[in-house]
Amino acid sequence: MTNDAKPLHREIKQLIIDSLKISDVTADDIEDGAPIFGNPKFELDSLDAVELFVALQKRYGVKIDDQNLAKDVLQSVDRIAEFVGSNRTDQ
Amino acid sequence: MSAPFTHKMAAHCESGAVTALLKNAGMDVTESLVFGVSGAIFFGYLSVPMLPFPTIALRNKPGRIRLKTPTRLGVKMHTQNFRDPAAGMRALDELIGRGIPVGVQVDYFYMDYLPEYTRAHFNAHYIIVTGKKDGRYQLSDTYFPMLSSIDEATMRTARFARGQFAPKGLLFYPETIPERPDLKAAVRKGIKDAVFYMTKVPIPFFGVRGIRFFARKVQEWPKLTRDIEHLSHEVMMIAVILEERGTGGGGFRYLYATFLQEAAKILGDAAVAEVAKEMMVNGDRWRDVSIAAARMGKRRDLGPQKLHELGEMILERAEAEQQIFRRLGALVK
Repeated sequence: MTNDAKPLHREIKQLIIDSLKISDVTADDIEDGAPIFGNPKFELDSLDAVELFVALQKRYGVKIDDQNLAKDVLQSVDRIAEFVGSNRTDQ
Repeated sequence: MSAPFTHKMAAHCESGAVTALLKNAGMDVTESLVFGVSGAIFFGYLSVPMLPFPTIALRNKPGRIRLKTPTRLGVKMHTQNFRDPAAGMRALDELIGRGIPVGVQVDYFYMDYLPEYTRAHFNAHYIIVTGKKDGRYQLSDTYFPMLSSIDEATMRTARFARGQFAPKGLLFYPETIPERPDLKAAVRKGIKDAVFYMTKVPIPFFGVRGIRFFARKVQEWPKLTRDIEHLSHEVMMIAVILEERGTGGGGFRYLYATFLQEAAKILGDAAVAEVAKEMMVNGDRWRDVSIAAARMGKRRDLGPQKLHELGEMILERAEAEQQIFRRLGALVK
């Protein structure tokens, strides 16, 4: 399935790039099911995890107020999209 | 070729460099305002595989001041990375040739005008290049009392060093400055950020929770160290991190207190000025933590009781900062 068929995935990928200021990476470079953190392509750390769920909160109105939930949700774009899809309050 | 530039030392390299560039461009700002507006005050207890030993972070991730403050002040900041070092150096030369002072990110180790014993590899150091003369880049480093210089090869190595926070040739400079920045809005956003990251982040090793975590974990450090010498070194590092690593003292708490004093005037809120006083006292108490850690480490007085006392001092900082940031959150909505 192409990224165009999953607009939420594409949006989330761009949010990751913009909020974490990742240079030299486009949305096409981020695979849906691949790990975001611990991925050498992006060089992200735990401080970036905080920035990302703040960005998700602001953009989609989702609340991640538990560490285990944060770990689970931020695993991959697929997982983030699933969580946002079920919990967003911005629409 | 050299751009006119007023060199000044600063508490912290990133806020100092951004402040210097903005002031040079005609904006009336202080380092404390630049620091506070970005919401940079933070606490993190970092124990990750890439680090040889747990450490503490007292501000948010390097680069956030450079990115957030100009945006919040309405400044258009040109920012550029380079894959090709030659292209990165050409771009730098072209800009300073036009008389534009340029902020660059470098590996601190290569700043050879600084005392050798202070220099360790750290890729997120910020300096301003003001010109080039006889093959040497003239530069303003806020950690050095006067303008200095390094040669071309060293600058290239420093700008393209690899590793964590790799600079990737980053350069930045203000393109446009607003006539009347909305300081009230910028200050509010900065304080709200700080309140969020210190009190609402649901990760146990960040924010005020992170200070409590640190208070507990430091008492377990003997299990992580090889011997008393190793433990002594790591405990003394607490003092180095809080006081020496470009925090302005007290783990950035003094700098933030100064920001709150300014914020109180900008917002016209005397209650914020009262919180500024509490934050200044908080800085003093963090300094007490530094002194205690340094003393314990130097004397090798590191038994369980002593570590417990250190942990208690740190826990008191957690309680104090909980109160401080809670009050700020109530004042700035």
